[in-house]
Amino acid sequence: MQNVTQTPAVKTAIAQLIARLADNKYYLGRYFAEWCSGAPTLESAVASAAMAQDELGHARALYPLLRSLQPEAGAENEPETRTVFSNVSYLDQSFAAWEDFIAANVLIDGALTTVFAAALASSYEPLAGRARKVLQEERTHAMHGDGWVRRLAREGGAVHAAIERALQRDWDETLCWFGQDDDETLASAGVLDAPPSELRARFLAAVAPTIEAAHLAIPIRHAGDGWELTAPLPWDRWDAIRYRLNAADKQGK
Amino acid sequence: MVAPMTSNTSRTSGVSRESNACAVYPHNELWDALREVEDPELAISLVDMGLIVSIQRSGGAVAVELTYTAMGCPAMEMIQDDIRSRLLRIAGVTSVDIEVVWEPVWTKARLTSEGRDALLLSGVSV
Repeated sequence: MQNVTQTPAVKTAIAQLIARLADNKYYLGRYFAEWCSGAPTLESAVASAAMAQDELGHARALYPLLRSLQPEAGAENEPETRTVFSNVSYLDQSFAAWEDFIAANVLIDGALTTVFAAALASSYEPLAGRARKVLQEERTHAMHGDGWVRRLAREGGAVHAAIERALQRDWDETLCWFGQDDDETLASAGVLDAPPSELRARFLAAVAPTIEAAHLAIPIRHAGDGWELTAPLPWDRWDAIRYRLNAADKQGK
Repeated sequence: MVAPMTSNTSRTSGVSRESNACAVYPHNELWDALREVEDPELAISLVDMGLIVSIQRSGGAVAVELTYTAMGCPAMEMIQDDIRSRLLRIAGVTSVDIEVVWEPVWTKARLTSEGRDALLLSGVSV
């Protein structure tokens, strides 16, 4: 396994990567936990508890890496005392409905899984050492998301419309979350095995079959052996530090 | 598989396997001590659960590599406290350093035959 080139730019990029992995995991865990007693079925309530425990465990395994990467950040390295989180904006608040839970599971948790898979042979060994275990635990999350998207879509009518709306709302930000195409710092340093454009393609390959089978109106289409987006991503709203989209009404502010 | 014990510095680690695919771990003072420490949620020793990855002793210092079945295990601190407490009761052991590792990934292949039987008796399918 190669060693990470310790340039300031690479170290900053690694810290940024760990922060956005940890923060999104942390909020997924918190919000999944809120559905332990409110999910549509007893089985899905139990699953919500298990998934919350997994996500919080993943976050707990990641935050200590921030302490070693940026000790000068002090309390900002701890989830309990951080003041700036690098989570996607749709995890700024609890899920208002079950379809929000499912959309977040399929989209941002699926995107996180794509990145962990790209880190299995990472030159940043502490990340590689955690990736295999995270991927083991995420297999059931992916099955849960796939099953629930298909189930809700099959219901038709307002239920189909609700899961479609939830996915549409979170879609652009999730695709942006991998980063801009010209940001190859992590791939060049061997921290991840692919640049953002390839990670986006892998994510599309993972989620598009479910979306297609469920007949959901998401802007993708077949392209050769893979998939492509049919609408441009809103990079004018992209926050390249926190890896999230700014609200449309805050552009330029 | 298992490194031989030497007089004052030793490192032992699993996993060797029996023909039925259950794991086998060393028998020595350190491993046997942890066979007395049970998982707080199940009446199964940490060794039989396959949570102990390696134990290294150098003089009075013992270093343990420990894994868990899940990254969100709620009993992490309790298990580490129990390990530390038991090892410090061994004559000559003055410090215990525990490192949590996620490689190798825990799977049921890390269970010993005793661990597998105990889980089945507890109603857990393996």
